[in-house]
Amino acid sequence: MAKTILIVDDSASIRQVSSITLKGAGYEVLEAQDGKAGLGKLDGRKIHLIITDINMPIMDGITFIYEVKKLPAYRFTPIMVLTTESEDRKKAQGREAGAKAWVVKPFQPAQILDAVSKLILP
Amino acid sequence: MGSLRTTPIVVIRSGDGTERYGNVTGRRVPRACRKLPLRLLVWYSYTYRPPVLTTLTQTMDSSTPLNYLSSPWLWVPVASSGAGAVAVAIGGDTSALIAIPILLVVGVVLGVWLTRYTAAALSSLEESAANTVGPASAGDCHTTADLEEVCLKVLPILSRQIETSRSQTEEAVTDLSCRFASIVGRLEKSAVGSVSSQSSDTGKGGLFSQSESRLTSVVHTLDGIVEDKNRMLNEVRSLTSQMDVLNQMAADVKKIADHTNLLALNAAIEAARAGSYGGGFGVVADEVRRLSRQSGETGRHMGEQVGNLHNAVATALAAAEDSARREGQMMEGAESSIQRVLADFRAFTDALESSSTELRASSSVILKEIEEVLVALQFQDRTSQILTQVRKNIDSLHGQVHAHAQAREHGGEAPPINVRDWLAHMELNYATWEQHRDHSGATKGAEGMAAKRPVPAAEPSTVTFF
Repeated sequence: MAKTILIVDDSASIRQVSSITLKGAGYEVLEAQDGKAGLGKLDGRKIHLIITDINMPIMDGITFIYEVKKLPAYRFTPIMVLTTESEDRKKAQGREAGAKAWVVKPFQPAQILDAVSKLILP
Repeated sequence: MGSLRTTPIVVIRSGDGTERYGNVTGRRVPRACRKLPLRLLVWYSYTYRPPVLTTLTQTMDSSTPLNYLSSPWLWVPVASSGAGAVAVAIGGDTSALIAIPILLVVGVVLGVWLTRYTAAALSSLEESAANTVGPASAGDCHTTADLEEVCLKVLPILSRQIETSRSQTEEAVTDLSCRFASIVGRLEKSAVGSVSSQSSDTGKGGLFSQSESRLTSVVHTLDGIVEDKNRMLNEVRSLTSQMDVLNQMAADVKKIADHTNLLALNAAIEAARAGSYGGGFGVVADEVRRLSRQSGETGRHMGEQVGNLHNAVATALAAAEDSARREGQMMEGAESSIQRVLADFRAFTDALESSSTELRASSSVILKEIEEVLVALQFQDRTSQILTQVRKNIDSLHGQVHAHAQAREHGGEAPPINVRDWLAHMELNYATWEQHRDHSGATKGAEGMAAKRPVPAAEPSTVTFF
């Protein structure tokens, strides 16, 4: 069965691009435009990996990661940050919140697929 | 530049009649000189622009010493104090010995101060006027209030325009990526289709051999039919030979009838010779003759019928043999046609295969190109973030100008702005390395603190695992 990945990003074009890349590799993709909408997608279904942006309206990525880690069903779901931020200070915030990887946009499709395959739950 | 101060706005009238306005910054201007005196001073300086400004601007250049002697600002007070000293000297009082040097010193000091002050004010005025928004069309931007009004009106427009262009770019790029997604989908489908058709039995090779075996089986079936027909012809030929036997039999019957008739004739003769004793025998002999005649008739009939039958069979056989010969020729034609069709078909499938290989190759090239496009499309997100922050900064600048305007309207002191904090706050919210680069580039020459911060390396497109 195809693995499911949740993409949380306020930029529709980034959601599209990530979605094309991941669907092309055989993953099932769910999309949300901010942290709050992303939490709405975590309704008990099996999610194998979460990819989130940092700068988003309504709920930013760091808060979203903290909220996901509070949910028993998704506490161990790996989270990858996909953002334009490349400062070490921001990366440290992400790691503290519980992210497993930090990818700086723009990404090469092969690069993100490699990172996904390393992180995704079996 | 420590903090922004409330400084007067001055209007610079150039020789060609256009007006520019500038904010005298960078110098602590005495409160008393902020408004009217400075305006007069500037008006005076620009009225006499060629000699005065050239001199004063030169004086600000560190390589050129301040030329006091050519400055009217030195000579006006020096001349006044000189006149006073002369007046005091004419009075002839003993206190003149003290007053004359004091007046002269005061005049010189005042002249030097005025020269330096004017030089500083005009130089900073030049500098800021060079950075002003441009010529004022109706000459109605004479005061701080006017600049504030311009800011209050222009900044929201700029903000909205940035937002519009940002959202339009986002829509366009989203639409583009949608289209690319569908192209990728179609390409993948066609690539998968051509690969599966290649690998399956109905692929080019399979299709050819399948068609060949089907056509060959048709030829075999036709061959079988021809063989059946030949067997049937042989049967008919053997029937013809049996026909001869029948003919012989009919001839034999006729012969027997003739003999019988001869015998009956002899019997009748013998009966006639016997007279009345041979009467009954004569009847029998007559009957036998009649029977032999009938037998002879039947034998003749049989011979005729067998002859007819033989003719019919011979005609049929000839026709069948003719048709068999034609069929043989047709079979040969059919086989060569089938071979030709198969050859054409092979040529066609070969061409099809090479074009499908080409198609697969070009679609994989296109897929690669699209992958590159997908990377390029992500830059929209970066520009969108940068534009969003530019808009936010313009909005906060607008808020600041608004607060400033309100404070001025109510006669209060405008809220102070800490430029260092402002810049630091801007930098804190940057999301991309380009923003940091531009920020430090913008403030590098000045005493900006951001310039001292390390700028992230260009193209930091990396994956970090925690």
